[in-house]
Amino acid sequence: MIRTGWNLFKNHWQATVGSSRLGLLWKILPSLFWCAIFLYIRRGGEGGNAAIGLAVGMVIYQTITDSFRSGSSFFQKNLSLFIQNPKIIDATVIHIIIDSVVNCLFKIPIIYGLLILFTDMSFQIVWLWLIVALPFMILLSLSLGFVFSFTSYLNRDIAQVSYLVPLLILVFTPIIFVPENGIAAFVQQINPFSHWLHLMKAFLLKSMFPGKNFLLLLFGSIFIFTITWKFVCYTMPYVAEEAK
Amino acid sequence: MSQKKPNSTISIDSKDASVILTVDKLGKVLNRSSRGALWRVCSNIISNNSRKIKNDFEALKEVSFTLKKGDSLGIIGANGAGKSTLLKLLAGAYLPTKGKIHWSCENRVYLERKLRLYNDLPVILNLKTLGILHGIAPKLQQSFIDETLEFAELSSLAKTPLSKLSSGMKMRLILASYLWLDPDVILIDEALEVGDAKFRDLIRNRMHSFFSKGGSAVIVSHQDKLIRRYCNKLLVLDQGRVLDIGKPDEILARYNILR
Repeated sequence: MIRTGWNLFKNHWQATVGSSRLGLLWKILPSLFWCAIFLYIRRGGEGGNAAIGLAVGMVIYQTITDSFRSGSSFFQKNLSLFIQNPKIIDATVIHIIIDSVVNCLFKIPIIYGLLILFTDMSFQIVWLWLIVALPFMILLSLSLGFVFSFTSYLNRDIAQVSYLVPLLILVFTPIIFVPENGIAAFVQQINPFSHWLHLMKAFLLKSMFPGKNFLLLLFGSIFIFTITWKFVCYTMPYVAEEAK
Repeated sequence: MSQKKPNSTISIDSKDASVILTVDKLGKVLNRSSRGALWRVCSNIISNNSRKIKNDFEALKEVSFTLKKGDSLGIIGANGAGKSTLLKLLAGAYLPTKGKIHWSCENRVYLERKLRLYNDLPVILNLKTLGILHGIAPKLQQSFIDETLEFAELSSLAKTPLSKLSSGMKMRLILASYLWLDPDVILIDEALEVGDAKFRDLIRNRMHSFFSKGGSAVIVSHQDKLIRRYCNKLLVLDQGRVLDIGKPDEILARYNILR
């Protein structure tokens, strides 16, 4: 299963990278575009570091939403393939995990680069925890995507709502603003992505080594992902009966 | 459908070592409505398919039969009789509502008229994907790709995106690739009569060599010529029930389903 998933990833990678002129550049271009915008804003003078913080936040946000989109199109993209070959569902999940992890690893040098080149911060060993943390965080966004894939395949209204999810993630995680009270503050408090972001901030800005929270988030994300993985495999034949 | 001699009681001898498939009192409830799918699926998951929902209908009722190694079972019936549903159940894409399906062989492929692959990828990468999905060893991948392309007569279009191929070409490709895999059982849903006369001859030869090596098949078709050519057993479905099962010539003579 893992081998099949890995081979599927290699094949897909070869196809997507090989068939475009810019190839691997597309893995980082959207993030670089965001960074360029924030660096341009920074030229204004005031709030320079805030712009860099936002740029880093947006790169992390993009890794969350990219994997959410991969997860939320799981049935839409692959159901017809599963109908013909139900055994490949696990290998396809592995393929999606590898794809999302590799895509997110491409964004990590951008985050390091932004902090080193555009702030007065110097590289810290503790920053390397980001390489561990980010892939586990994307498991959580894949899980959210899988749940939306199941519901939006079967309900058109939810399918429309799923387009709003990336925006909701942006609002309810402390990337752009941190509300002090109200519903938004409450949702941010219970949102696990917020905790992941706080943890990453602690690595990068405060140079804090990971503690209990990191382990809790790591195992929590693995646990939630495993459940949603089993969920999509279990529900596949039920969804297949409703195949469009 | 002119019905002369119903014979829907089939004895099942699943202890026979040559039996590779046992279908026992299989039932499947589907729903005709396009609305409320989410609620329906959640309800089916929670109640394990046992709850009756509005617009539910029995697509298959008490279907029982066995398939022996080397057998080729044809399935015929009017539109909506449950042929494709039965094949999807045998392929494992659907779950039975009632009854059981027991396979004693692992290596089986399901072939539909619709090609379910990656349309935006070139033919060669689609074949590579197919090879991966079917667990072909890496050292055999290249010969799988080359021989399939050659058999499907599509070598010159190897780098063309799949979406640019005609539907006949796509079917040739997938049929050729599935026959290369040399499975124990092929489940075919109206997908054998594709391509031109020359390609059909090639398929005929390949299918006969598949059967001579002990391969088995379940073939859904509306064509009596095809049923007579490939099947040694024929099952007639009528509104989800097995109306009859027996030798193709006798069954085809008895029922006026295929012309």
